[in-house]
Amino acid sequence: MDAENLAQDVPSSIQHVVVMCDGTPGGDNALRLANAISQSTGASVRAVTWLPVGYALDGDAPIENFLASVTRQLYRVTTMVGFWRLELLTGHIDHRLAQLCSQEAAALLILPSGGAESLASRWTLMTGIPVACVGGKTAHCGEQVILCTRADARSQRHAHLMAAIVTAAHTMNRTSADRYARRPCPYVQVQTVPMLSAYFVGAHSSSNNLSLTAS
Amino acid sequence: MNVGVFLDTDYMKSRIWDLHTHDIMPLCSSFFPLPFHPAMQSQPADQIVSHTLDDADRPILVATDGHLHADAAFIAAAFLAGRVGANVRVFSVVERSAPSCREHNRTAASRHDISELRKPCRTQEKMREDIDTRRAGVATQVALTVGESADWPITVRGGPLDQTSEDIVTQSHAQLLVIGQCLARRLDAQPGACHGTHVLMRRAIPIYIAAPTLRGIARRVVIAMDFSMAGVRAAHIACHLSAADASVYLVHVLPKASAQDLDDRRCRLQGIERSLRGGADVRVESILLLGDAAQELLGFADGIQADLIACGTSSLPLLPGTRPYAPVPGRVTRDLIRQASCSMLIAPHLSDRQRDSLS
Repeated sequence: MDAENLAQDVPSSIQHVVVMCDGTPGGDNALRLANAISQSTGASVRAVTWLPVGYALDGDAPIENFLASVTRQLYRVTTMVGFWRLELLTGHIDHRLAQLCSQEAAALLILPSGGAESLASRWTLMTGIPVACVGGKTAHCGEQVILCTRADARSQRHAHLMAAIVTAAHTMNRTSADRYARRPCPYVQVQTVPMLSAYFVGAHSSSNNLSLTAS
Repeated sequence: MNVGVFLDTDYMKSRIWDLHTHDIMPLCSSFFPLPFHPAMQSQPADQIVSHTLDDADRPILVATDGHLHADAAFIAAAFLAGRVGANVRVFSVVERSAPSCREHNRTAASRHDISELRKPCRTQEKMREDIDTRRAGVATQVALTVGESADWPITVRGGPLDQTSEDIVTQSHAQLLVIGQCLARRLDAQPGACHGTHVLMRRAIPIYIAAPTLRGIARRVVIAMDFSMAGVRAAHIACHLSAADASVYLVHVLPKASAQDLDDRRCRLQGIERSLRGGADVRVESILLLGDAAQELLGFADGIQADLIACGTSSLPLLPGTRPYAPVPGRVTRDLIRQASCSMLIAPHLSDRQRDSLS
């Protein structure tokens, strides 16, 4: 995959969003944000998941049970689950995710908090699109989104566009009284990830090698 | 694509709209243009194809004074920019007092002049202070609605509101103007001949009036179709700005009609419907209603909980022999702006000179 050309394929508008769904409370925040963006912009959402490292594959229908838990989360959190598609990624996750984002012409990838932060910078380099990592609520800042983006001009422009949309979607969902309260921290923080070839080498070499046959 | 937002403030009043069509003609040359050509006057509506140029480098312009009422316009601008992949710019104008006020001779002044003299005279320092204050207010508003990370450039200038706004808009080559609903209605309530909607009609740049009920990008769109060029243009722009899976209702209202008239209008609606379907994935449905145009449109929009009503401002006919039905579109547009609970998109009529510039 040509890293320099990745940004050229990033759509200039937001039509499709990919969100990682993992069944955890952190995943709820990511799904809520994806839901808000979808409702505000009309973008379609593709939910993806994969078996966590170390997931026990013994027992009765472990994959089906995992997918059932993720599906329950989708139904619980979102209002448009009928229009979403959930896909279980297998094999080299980094490669599959980049491939999926490219196929879907995704403009934004949303990750939950809890271990995914370290992946955000890697995946923005891999996919060429901004990666939003939804952090949990803290006493100081409340919920916050870290938007990782590449350093090239096109990616920066796209990230600023996404930052405005993410914040506007969040603003719309706030109560009117809360809307005008000055937040101590901005809801979205844009972090630029330097273009280092080592990231790509590392991303490929550290891919999840778990290979599954979804049956 | 660029978006502009105007807020209602005392200093803005109707003057911000008081730009002349020929002054802002360059602005309309590439915003969602239809292939206007003199020969197009006789071209059937279903043969008109929307040619959207590459507007990615053309900013959306937002004018504001930092008032909270403009929040909906800012949020709408963010979503519209995300829909079409455009940049957004914000501007605000601090009106300058008449510079000659200090030069007046009180003793020689008439009663009218004396009342003018009582207006506060602003020094250059005061103007700079006002500009700094306004810039801070606008920056806060941007941060609270779309975030500082949005990185929307903010321009604040001092000077006469109309001329300064015109200069900024002209230099920006904006393709869409977004205003708050409060301003539109306040302008419309201004006494005298210069009603807000009259002024809006002179705009060559499409105007998006964001309602406080804004829920995001439009998914249910009502197009008030009067078969004018501006009306067809409004339909294409509305489809372009709405969600990909939006439901578009192409509505034509007649006060009364014979069966022949109804068939005729239905055929024309279906022609436009085909042209809209050809350019987008939206679902388009043609609707014929009988009665008062504004009231029927508003009732229909409320009934389907529309997100957007789109209309043109031209009274010029598109087809030979077609004339705008009563009531005149100007009245309908004004009523829609006054009473609509949802957002509105108004596509202006383009003058011959503007069409020539496109052709």
